[in-house]
This record gives sequence, C-alpha cells and structure tokens, in this order.
Amino acid sequence: MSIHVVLKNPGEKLVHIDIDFEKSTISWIHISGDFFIYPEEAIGDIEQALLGLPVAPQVIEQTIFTLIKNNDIEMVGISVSTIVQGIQEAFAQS
Amino acid sequence: MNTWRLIIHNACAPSWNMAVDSAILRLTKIPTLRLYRWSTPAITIGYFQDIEKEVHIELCKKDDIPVIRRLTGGGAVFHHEELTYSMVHPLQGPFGKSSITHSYALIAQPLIHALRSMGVDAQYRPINDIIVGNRKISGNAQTRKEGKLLQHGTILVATDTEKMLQYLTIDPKKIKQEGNPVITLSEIVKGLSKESMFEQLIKAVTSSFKELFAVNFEEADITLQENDMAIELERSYFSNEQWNCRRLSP
Repeated sequence: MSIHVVLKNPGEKLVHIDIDFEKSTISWIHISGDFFIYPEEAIGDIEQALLGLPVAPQVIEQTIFTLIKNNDIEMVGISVSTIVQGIQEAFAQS
Repeated sequence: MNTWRLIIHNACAPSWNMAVDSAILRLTKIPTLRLYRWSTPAITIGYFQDIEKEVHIELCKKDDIPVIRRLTGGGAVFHHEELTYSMVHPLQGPFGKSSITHSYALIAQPLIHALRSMGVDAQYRPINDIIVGNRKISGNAQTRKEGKLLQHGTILVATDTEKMLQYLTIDPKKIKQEGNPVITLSEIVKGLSKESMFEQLIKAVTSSFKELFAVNFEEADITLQENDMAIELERSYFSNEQWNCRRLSP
C-alpha cells in the first residue's frame, strides 16, 4: 500500500507524493499537484530516475539536479528540496 | 508595430475549447490572442494533477460536469460564466527572453490593465494569479512547445463560486496558507448586465494588449488546418477519458 504525503511550502504550490518503498529504496513514486514543470513530460523522467534509489537526501537531490541540468528542465512552484522532504516524510511513515 | 491575430469565440464546448488552444499552439506561425466562453459548466485540471485528488468525480458525473485535463500545469478550475483568454506567441522578443515566472508577470499586465480600466483594483500575485484584495479573479497557466508559448487563463465574470466549491476538493492546507476565496467581476462592477460586462471586458482586454504590447489586431477565425487539428486533438485527448483521467505524454 502506497504512502501519500501532501506538502505546501511557502512560495510553492501544493505537491502530492504517492510512494512505495522496498526495504530502504524507492520502488514506486508518483508526484502530482498544481505546480509547473517545463517540459511537462519531464515529470515522468524524474519519477523514473528515482526508482531504486535509497532514501538518502543527497543521492535523491543529486539525481534530480543532474536530470534538470542535462535536460534543461525548469520547475515552477515545486523544488527539489520539496520532493526530497516529501520522500523523507513518507519514509518516516512507512 | 506587430500584428497579431485576434479570435473571438462565443461559448464553445469545453473539450473543443481546450482542443482549439492546443491546435493553435501546434500550428500557428503568428501571435494569436483568442477570447472565448464556455457553453456548459466544466472543470479543467492541471497537467500534473490527479483527477481523484482534485474533483468530486461522482458529483460531477451526476451533474454532467465534464472534467478535462489541460496541456498546462496549475490547478483545477471550474469554468462557468467567465471570459477565458489564450495567447500563443513564438518564444521571441520579450516572451522569449524572459524566464517562465517573469513571463507570467508580463502577460498578467494587460489583464490587470483591463480590469483596472473597469474600476477593479487588480494586482498580480506570483506565481500565476491576479487578485483583488486577497481574492483571486484570474488564474493563468502556461506551456512551452514547438518554439512557442501558450498561456491561457480565466477572468471570472459571474461564476457561481458556491457551486464551484461543491465540485472541487480544496485542500485545507492550501486554504489556510494561501486563502482560496475567489471573486468575480459581477461582485465588483455594478449596474451592468452580464452580457454588457462580457462585452466591456472583451473590449478592455483587447485594447490593453494593444496598448501594453504595442500590437495591432487582425480579427480572424481559426484556419481550416487548425480546425482539422482541433477535431483530432479533441477526439484523441480532451474528450478521451484515458487522457482526462491519467497523466499521459501530450
């Protein structure tokens, strides 16, 4: 059963994270909300890149930042730190 | 002075409205401003939203309120008695140079100017809202594809906001932090019939775009190619349950 967390950080939009863990790694993740990511399809790439990663903030952060840099992705109303925070909060509940 | 195409559509079906915006984005080579209304109440959800998290689906089905996923991000919107604009512009000049957040602020300016010309004390609230006091009168959303930007948004004219709140699941955290109340033009501008208000607003919006962006308008309709593309996009996306219920690649 997946875990659902909702985040609303100042200056950002509402972010929902639905996530499953297998031991200490991410086995499934779905990020949704009223934010903007350009290009929009990049959300799928971000979710895909997180699969199999350990719940280690630096690893998750670095993975997303690399993806953003390599693919010219722009995030508006959502940040890498919010995604990391959501994953950590969900993991604490698992 | 640049010439833009101006398209004024009366009330159209919700899925057609979204399909036409998308077809213009794909095909047009000239900057286009389209102003339109909705033939029936409808909800659109942002590209990144989950329908079941944003909308009371069963109630929408019962009341025949279509729920359509937009190409653009942002939040769920209940469309009813509003003027919607869509602007498509190549990523050149001020729109190409500016960051996405800055372009929201830039495109908000003619809308704010139009509202102020009608006596409404409208202000831009980052990232993508226009407010009066602390209440939202206009929400806006942008996508960038094919070297162009599409920004569309609403100006609430006489939307039944109580009805709106019935269909949308509004997160209490969001209400607490941002305040969710909306305001309509008819609550502020008195002494005008609804239809006169729409007419004045259309005039105010077009003249504000002209003045602030230094453009001329040539009024026209969508092209035959755009019409054919819109038929295809409406069929495969905006009236397609698979697209509307799940996030798929556009």
